[in-house]
Amino acid sequence: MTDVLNIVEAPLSWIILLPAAGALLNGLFRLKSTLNGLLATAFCFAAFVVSILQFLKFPEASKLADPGYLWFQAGHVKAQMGFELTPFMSVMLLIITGVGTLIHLYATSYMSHDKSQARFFAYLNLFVTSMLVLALSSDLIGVFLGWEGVGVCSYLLIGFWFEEDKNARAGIKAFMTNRVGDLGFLVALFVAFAYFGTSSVSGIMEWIADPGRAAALPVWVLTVFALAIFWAACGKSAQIPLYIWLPDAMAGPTPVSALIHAATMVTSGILVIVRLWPIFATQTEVLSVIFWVALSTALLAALMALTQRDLKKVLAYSTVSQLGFMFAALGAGAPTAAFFHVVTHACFKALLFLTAGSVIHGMHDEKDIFKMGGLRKKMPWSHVAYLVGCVAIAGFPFTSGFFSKDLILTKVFESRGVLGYGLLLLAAMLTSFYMFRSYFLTFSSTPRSHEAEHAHESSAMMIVPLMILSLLSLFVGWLEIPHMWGHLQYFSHWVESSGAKAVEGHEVEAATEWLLMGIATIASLASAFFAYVKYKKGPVTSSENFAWKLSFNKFYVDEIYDSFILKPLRKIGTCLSLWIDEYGVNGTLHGSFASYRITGQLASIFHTGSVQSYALLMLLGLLVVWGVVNVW
Amino acid sequence: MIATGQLIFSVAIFLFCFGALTFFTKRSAVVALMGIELMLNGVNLVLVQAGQIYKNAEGTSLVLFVTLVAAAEAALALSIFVILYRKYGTLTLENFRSLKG
Amino acid sequence: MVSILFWPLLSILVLVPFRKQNWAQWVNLLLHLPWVFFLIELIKVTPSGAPFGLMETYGTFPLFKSALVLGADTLNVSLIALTIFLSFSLSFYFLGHSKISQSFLILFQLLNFGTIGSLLAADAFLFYIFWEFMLIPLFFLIGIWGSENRVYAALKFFSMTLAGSLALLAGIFFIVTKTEVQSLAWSELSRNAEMLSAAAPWLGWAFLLAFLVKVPVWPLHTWLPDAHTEAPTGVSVMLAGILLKLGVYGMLRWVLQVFPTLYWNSTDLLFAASVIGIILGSYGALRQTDIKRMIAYSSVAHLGFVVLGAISTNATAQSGAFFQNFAHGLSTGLLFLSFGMIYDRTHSRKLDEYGGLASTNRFLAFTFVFASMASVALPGLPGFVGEFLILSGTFLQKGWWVLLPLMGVVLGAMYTLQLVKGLVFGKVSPLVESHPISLKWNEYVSIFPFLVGLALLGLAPQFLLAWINGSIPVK
Repeated sequence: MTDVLNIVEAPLSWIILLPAAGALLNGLFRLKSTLNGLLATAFCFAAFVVSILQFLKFPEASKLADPGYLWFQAGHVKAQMGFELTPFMSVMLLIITGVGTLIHLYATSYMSHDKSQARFFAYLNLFVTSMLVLALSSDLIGVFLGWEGVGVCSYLLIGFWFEEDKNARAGIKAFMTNRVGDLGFLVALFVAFAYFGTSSVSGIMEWIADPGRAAALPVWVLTVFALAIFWAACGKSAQIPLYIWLPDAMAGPTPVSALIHAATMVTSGILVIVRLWPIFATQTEVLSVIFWVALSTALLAALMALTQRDLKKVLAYSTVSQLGFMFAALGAGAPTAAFFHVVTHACFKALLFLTAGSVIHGMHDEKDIFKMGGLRKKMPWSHVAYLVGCVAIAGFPFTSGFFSKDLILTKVFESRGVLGYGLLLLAAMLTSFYMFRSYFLTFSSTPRSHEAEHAHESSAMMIVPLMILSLLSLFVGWLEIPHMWGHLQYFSHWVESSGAKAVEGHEVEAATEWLLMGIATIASLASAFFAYVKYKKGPVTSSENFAWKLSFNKFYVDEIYDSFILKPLRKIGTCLSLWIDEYGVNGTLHGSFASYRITGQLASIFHTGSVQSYALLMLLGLLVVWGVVNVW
Repeated sequence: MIATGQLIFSVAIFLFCFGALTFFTKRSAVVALMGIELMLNGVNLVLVQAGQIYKNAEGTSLVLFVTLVAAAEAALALSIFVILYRKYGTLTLENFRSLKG
Repeated sequence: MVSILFWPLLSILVLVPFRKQNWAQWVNLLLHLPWVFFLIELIKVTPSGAPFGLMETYGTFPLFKSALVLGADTLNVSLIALTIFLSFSLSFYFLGHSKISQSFLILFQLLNFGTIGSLLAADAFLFYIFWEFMLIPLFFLIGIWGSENRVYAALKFFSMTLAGSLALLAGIFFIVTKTEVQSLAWSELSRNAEMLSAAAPWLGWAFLLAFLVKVPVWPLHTWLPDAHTEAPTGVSVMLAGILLKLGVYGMLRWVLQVFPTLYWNSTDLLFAASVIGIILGSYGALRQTDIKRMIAYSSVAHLGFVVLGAISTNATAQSGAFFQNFAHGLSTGLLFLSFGMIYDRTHSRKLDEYGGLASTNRFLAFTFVFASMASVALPGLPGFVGEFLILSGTFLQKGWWVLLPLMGVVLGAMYTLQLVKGLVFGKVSPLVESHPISLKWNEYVSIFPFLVGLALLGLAPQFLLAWINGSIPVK
């Protein structure tokens, strides 16, 4: 019991306890005006400071650990609530707490007119706490605690404005889809405890490193484990077939979309896979599965984003697509590329979402980009921020997106050849196209509606985070430049020193790399230009053909799920329950009760109340007895 | 010629059955009582004849007992009938079915 | 042990002179305090390890070959603690409640007496007496103070449970008359396990049947939705909180440890039954429109998980099953209790009449969502610990069969979220608007222990697990 107290002293746990305290305080006290928001931001910032201190301890320390306390143990299951920090995770911590703080600050202003700010910031801090638990836990079961925690917070935050039925339903959709994904995590945990004897990440790594044990393991164990984790990642990180919750999640307030559905929660799947990389590195079939699923997701989502009118939905599909890029990198055996993109994406996607929030705020909650236009004059700061975001996500030269996307494309070319590269490049071109489409429709030409006419710029508390994120989106990329340019490869260093070495592939020579880089750059610039040409004057509605319909209606995936999977499952189950429980079991019961009643009623036929019939019966009875006695 | 004993037995059985039939089928309580008396008489006859055949007095003495009980029971029954008639104005057995069910 | 057992009887005697409702309620509350004290004393002396480590004999009935033997180990003392916990919290809820009269409280204490007795009994006949004894106050409590359909529910509950208990009685008679056991004491019976199994193959089933009805295991569960729904709030909490667990306790104590071969041979059948129970129970909850019935069906599903663990051969799942008892007791108890407070004011159980509770009473909304999250086995709350241990153990023992109950995890979320959305979220419905709910101080106090218990057990379950680990019976 006393080791529970150990937690309070170690600094790693402080990172978690600080936002937890913020959540508790916000939950208990409703403060005036924006004080709840500022309180939450302060706690998040404090966690950020502690994260920096931890980060600075590397590279002298290779790994920071804190044994924590024994959560529960019975039989062959031992769940230790301990914490450990590897270099790459400490970078992730900086993102979670740093970008988190910026978003908290932004949200303080964005939600300043809401009537439930205390609840919002309590949830937001709780989310940060869970995300940190997910990132810091040394045992997979602790990761699962954080995993489900962010799921719950996501559910609560998406459905934050719960008076609208649509929001509540979106929250439920997110939770249920995540639950289905979580089954994968649970299976992986079962396998881990049954076959590796532990769910501690370092424990598992040690266990499989032992050649004797690894040889004795049935062949399927590691494959099933990896697939199960990937299935869970599909749920949390929105890959096919479990991505459907993310676009609907836009029902929540924009800061939620920025923090949860762009920067942190959705990347959890990738984080877990990178942590468990030594297992994945050996499972080539699983990596293939991951690659092709990711590629399809990236393309499918990009196709859906092409026609959307809701600004946040464009960004939502963009997120799904970009997550596909990250998984594609994993499938290509390049954890560094994946993690690099996680970080750059966190920066520019958060930027894009927050700017979108600023735009929507200025447009008095109008989200339809067809109704916007000309905002570059009305909202200059937001305009710059959004432009920077678009430029970064499209991968214009020297932006952060350029470096991370290029790295991914190169790695994919190395391991999956021209086909994989070509398809992913197509997705990248589509990205550039639809992002700039949204940019031009929102900010160029002239206002197309009343709200756009009277749009106003947002407050400083919202602009400052936008600017900081813009700078990050432009310059973070320089931390991992291609080998041929020099020796700044921090991400490789961080990821590899945490135990995730890239799968050996055939490295391309410098000339091919230049060629690939050139193709990609030209492709994205060309797409952007094409978008400019098409949309500079405003929306184009002439080409609403079949292809357009497919894209606009998200390829009817939700409808297909509903009619072929969800409704049948529910209907069959409830009907079964009705027939078996009510009619079957209860029916049998009532039948047996009825049999008593009927027997009684049959017997009472003889109770006529007439003396004569009683006498007759007596006589008959007597005769029967006499007969029986005599016959026997 | 049928033996005397057999004849008497048949008469007794006839009396008994006739009495039973009367009891079971008649509407009026008084007539049902008559049927009971008939049954008892039939039984008495059987007992006497049995005493005659087996040459002992048990049959006849049993008849005394039966007659005694018959008298008591008739007295009781008639008293009940009087009360019933006073209360319900009728002695039709079909009306007295309150113990039905 | 005797003091903890007879204290409820003493409480009844003390309660008798207090005819007035208010007085009776307060006296009832105060009488719980010494009871808690006795519990603490008992916990201090309970050994963990040997089953029925602490045993005391008080008298014999040679006619029935039985004796007044009471036994304690962490298995039953932990359940006694749960009983007292629930009763104590409820006694706060009862304060100032217009329907809780002196007779209600007396019957309630009788129920407590029967419960503690069944838990402490270490002799088969004594156990049977207490087991049957529990039914009588329950019948009256449901039948008199319940809702519209109360008589039907009470009768159904009583007859089904009685039918099961009669099987138990038949088994006991058979043992007394046809076998050579010296006495019906638990220690004697478990020593002669092989002889008993050889005597008659149906004996173990007779014992098991009584508990299967009580747990309840599908398909003998149909009394549960009616009983839980029609019962008054306090009784619902007790039913869901502790009485269902007695069925599991009976299975572990009187079947597993007395007829081990039969028990382990019937696991396949029980596995099928519990999996069906989980899935059909969840779907059953899904198709309900009555809130209490929904929660009742969720109990069927949860107890399905518990039985799943109770029939497994490894310590992991068995510990999980026993821990899940507590988790379920607290979470479902809290669901019934918090909804009971709402029902006291609105008198409607229809889900579609509700909506938007979160806008009118944040504390209740929070409590409800918190209890629902516990019910759904969210990590950080005790339901997860129990379910995870059970499922891990099932995987270890039965491999990929675990995928079937795993579906229950998803289904559980489905109906729970549906319930939460219909009751707590959404626009404020006319019913909720016309009945503003402001809780009295005693209602807050009654909820508080549940919240603390859930949070504590969820984040630091080890202290309970370590304590009960010694008494978990494993193959």
